Amino acid sequence: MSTPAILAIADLAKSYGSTAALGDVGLTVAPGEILAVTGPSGAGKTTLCRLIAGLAAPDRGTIALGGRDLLAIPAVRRRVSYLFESYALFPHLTVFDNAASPLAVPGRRVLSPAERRDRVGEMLALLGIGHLADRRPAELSGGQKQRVGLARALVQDDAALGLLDEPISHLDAKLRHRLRADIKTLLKSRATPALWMTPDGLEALSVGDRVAVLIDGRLEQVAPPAEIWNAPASVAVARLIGDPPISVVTGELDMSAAPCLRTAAGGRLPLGHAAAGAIASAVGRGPIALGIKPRALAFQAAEAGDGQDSVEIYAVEPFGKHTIVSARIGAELVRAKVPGLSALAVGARAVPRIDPAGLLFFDAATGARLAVKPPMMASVA
Amino acid sequence: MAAADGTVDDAAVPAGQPAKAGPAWWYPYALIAPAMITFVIISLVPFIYTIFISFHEMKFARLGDFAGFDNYTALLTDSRFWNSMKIAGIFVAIAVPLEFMLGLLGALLLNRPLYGRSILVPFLFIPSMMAPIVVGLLWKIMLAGSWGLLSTNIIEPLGLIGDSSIFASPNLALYALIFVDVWQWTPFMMLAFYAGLQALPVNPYRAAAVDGASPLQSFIRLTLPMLAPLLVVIGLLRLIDAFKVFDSIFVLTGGGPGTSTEMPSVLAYKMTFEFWNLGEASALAVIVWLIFFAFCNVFYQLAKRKLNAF
Repeated sequence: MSTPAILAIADLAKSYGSTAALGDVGLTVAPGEILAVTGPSGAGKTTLCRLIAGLAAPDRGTIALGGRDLLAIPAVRRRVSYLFESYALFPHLTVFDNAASPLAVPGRRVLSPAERRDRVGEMLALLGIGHLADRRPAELSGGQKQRVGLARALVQDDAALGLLDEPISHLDAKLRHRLRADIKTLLKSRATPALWMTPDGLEALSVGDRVAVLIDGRLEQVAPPAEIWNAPASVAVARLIGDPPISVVTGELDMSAAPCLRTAAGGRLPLGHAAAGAIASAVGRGPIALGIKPRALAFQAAEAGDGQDSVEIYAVEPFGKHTIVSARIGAELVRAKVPGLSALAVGARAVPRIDPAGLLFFDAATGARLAVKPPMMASVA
Repeated sequence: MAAADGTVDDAAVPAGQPAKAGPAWWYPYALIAPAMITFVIISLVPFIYTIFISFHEMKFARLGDFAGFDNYTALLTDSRFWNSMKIAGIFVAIAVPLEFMLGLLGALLLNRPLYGRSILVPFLFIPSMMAPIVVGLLWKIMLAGSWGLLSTNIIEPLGLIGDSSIFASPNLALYALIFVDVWQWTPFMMLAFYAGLQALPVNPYRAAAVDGASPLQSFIRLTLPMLAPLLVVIGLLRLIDAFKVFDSIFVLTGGGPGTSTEMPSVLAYKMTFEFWNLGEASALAVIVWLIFFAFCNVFYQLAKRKLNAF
């Protein structure tokens, strides 16, 4: 077992034909660190895994582990433990033999049959598939197959690097909840860098020591979870984070008697004086992409004809302990997460109430977050 | 049954059945009828008649008295029968493993990135597409003594045999026949195995590579087990086919010199159309059938249990 080594990726790029899959990706992952890589499907997460594992060669860029050039080492000798998004199980082997297969390759310490049985058995038990040890992959459900793949990846405690491509995305909610913590603990107990790919922004925040947001093959932001949560670097990151994600409305600030944000499509978001004032003092009056955290927004029922500046409710989704209420502003959906149940009905008129502390400001043209003049980044949970 | 008000009476449908009943009971039988009728007329009736003849005395085309097991005892005490079994055993034991291994090796080579593969593959079909009679004649000419293309240019300069055809040598004729069989069937095995290799999933290989498996490990622990059902089926079919090879032998040696290449199929032909002893020839056919019936059953059970094949 070699000494723990830092993973350093620089200027990595890869295209498939004329389609650019990854462009100028640069990352470092420290030994014992979990880097969560999140992004919508098609963002390049699997391509990044394949390049690191050696299943594909980059067009340019470098990948080094502890100073050694990984690209010069064939996949077979990189000693990467890789959970495939598609599982890639061996169809003719039982669950146990699938999970035990990496222990039989040349160069690994030879385990006694008892040791092997214990190690693999322990891993299967941890993942809740111990009772399936004698089954073959064709007899398993998607979630069970995913856990066999996980067992095969995690059983390699001497791997130099861990790659988990959407490790828990096919599990049911309850299991996902439990295994997220178990797998994180297991990875943290190993002194190697680990990359955890997930399309779920919240999952990324919860498992990563740091989170890298990958969009259209480019890194939008790499930061600790709290920073991603409080200060997403761009509109694209904001739209990926949160449950529901942060709403973004692009438009011109209208500081008339009924202050609002007017979108190019003709929609208007009533702001109220407090929010409008906060925006004006923070970034001025030009065009702006306004991010609204779901907790910073509420809708108050408006009486017909009371003259208040209101919007029409588009959807009401009750989740028990909270309800997501949304309204359509131009082409955008603005979502509020309100506690408990909401009395609002679809189609009703309501006045948006915005807490200025939960606003984020982005450049209307580039989508990059704008520097804010006064210190007003108090977090809204 | 239509009720008075014009609606359809549901009571016509048996309880517990979906309202829309399936086709009539005879429908599935009608669908398999063409295949079954052909099978019965072409295979089953002659087969049963063969068994019937084998228990009777039958010289020329006249069915004689019931003979019990006389034909069988005559056959089993005939050294020519045992000779034919030995010849078939040697033929199958050498030809089939050779075709199998060369075919698998060829398929693995073909499965690698290969320039011009799409042109090469159709050519591989040629030997197995040729009528065995044509294959026989082709090699008879190529290996003809003193003037055959291969005889004069390769075999005779090496001094292996004189200027007579290799098919005239009692010691070598059988091996020449094996060579022709290997020539004819290896490309077919290669194509069958190549098709199997192409159908294997690619992801397990990626997983094995990332986990550090050597190419040899990938072959032995991934390719062979994943390909096993196909290997077993193709191997079995070739085995049966090789045991009853007739055409090319008939053309090349006619079972000779002497009885040195007399496979059971050739012996059965001679018994029928040269000695006109149809009773004993039928007994031979039934014995060959019994051998394969038993063999295939055992083999099938083994493959089913051990390999997850079938």
